Amino acid sequence: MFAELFDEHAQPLHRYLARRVGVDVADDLVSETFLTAMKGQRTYDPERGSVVGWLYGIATNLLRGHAKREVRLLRTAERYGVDLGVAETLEHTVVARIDARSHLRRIAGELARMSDTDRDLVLLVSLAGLSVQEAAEALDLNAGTARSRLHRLRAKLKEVEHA
Amino acid sequence: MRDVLDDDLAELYTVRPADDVRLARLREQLFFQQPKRRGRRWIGIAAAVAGVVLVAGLVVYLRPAPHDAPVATMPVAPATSLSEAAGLLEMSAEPRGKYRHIKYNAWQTYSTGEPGTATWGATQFEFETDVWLPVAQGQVPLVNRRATGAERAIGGVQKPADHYLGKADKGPGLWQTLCTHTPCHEVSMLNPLPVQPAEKLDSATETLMSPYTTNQEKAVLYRQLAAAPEIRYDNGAVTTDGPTSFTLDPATGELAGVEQRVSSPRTLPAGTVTLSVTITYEWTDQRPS
Repeated sequence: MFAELFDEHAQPLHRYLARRVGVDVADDLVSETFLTAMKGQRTYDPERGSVVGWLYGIATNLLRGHAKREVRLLRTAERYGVDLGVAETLEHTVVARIDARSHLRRIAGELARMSDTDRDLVLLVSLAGLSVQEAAEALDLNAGTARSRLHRLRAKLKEVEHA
Repeated sequence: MRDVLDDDLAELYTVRPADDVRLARLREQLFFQQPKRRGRRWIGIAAAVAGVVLVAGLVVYLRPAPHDAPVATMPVAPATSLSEAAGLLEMSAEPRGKYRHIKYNAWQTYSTGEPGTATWGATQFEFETDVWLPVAQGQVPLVNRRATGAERAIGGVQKPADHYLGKADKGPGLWQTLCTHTPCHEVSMLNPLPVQPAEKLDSATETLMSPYTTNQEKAVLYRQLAAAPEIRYDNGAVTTDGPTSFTLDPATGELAGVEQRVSSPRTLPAGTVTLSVTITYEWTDQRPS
């Protein structure tokens, strides 16, 4: 069962995690997510939500251990106007060539200032492609609360995007 | 419904390298290499395994048609974009020896006379450069440059090599940085890439050719080139509307060749290749003294 679950969900989950915290950390997080899922399979209750929400919920909890790293990358992205891939490389090089993109700076700064849950909510829907319902399950939020919070957060991001 | 904000978030959280190999490895670790527990329960486990094997054997024996075995590992997919090539470079397991041996084979074009006159002629001469770059710190990189003596006609009057080359001429400088001791740093990484696409590709290519540019730095350059829509990627060939182009090995992401052509004809016809470089890499534990 878990091999099938892995085959279906590991790649999009890895892609999502790699975009947030880099490939190396994503490897560990995917492993830990499925190990945690295997250990806690009896805690999965289909009545409470989808398997996608359950898996991404585990992954999101594990991701919290790397929130500081993500915020650090966002700060670098804010400073130089680069994407997180370049920001990660900048950590390993003295100086890199930079094509500054000012809208990325502002969005990165706003994301860095958000709470972990708010950032997760925005990115689970936008990057991972989860529905608001699935993202709410992953974050253990009420779906209505998640919907209104997401609306507010996206409005704020759009505001800084066009500032 | 997706909108511009989603596009900007996708741009900020750039897609990372292809992950098939990593995932295959993770899958193998998770489902095929569970640590074996030792203890008294081994007899029960052995009995259970024997039972499973027996049942599985019967199932296989009785199945009407064989099915393919589950895939445990997946081959590395060739890069279909500069971003994927960047990912391949970042994933390469290095170092694999004491020295990185980089070999450059260059053909440079020399010309004489005015185009369209009887005195005009152009010839290519071959040069080789070998670099042995130590992995250990505080060691001297070894660089050997030489003219091979090989030549080939481009057109018109063919002059001998000594018409163009001095005795000490060892061919074109392919990079600018001088490094006396490891670790070496390619200094052109300090300069921002030009905005104009042809200049951007030209400048990045020179930096990519340097033996001192690390894979991480090359990956940064690939991603910056990928962000310019005017710079095209087609099965390893990276081109734009300008004089410089390069090819990379889609299987490894390594720079494999560079070509420069005449863009504004003065002494050579437009489109003539002025410099053609092929680059090969190997890891070795020995180098010439």
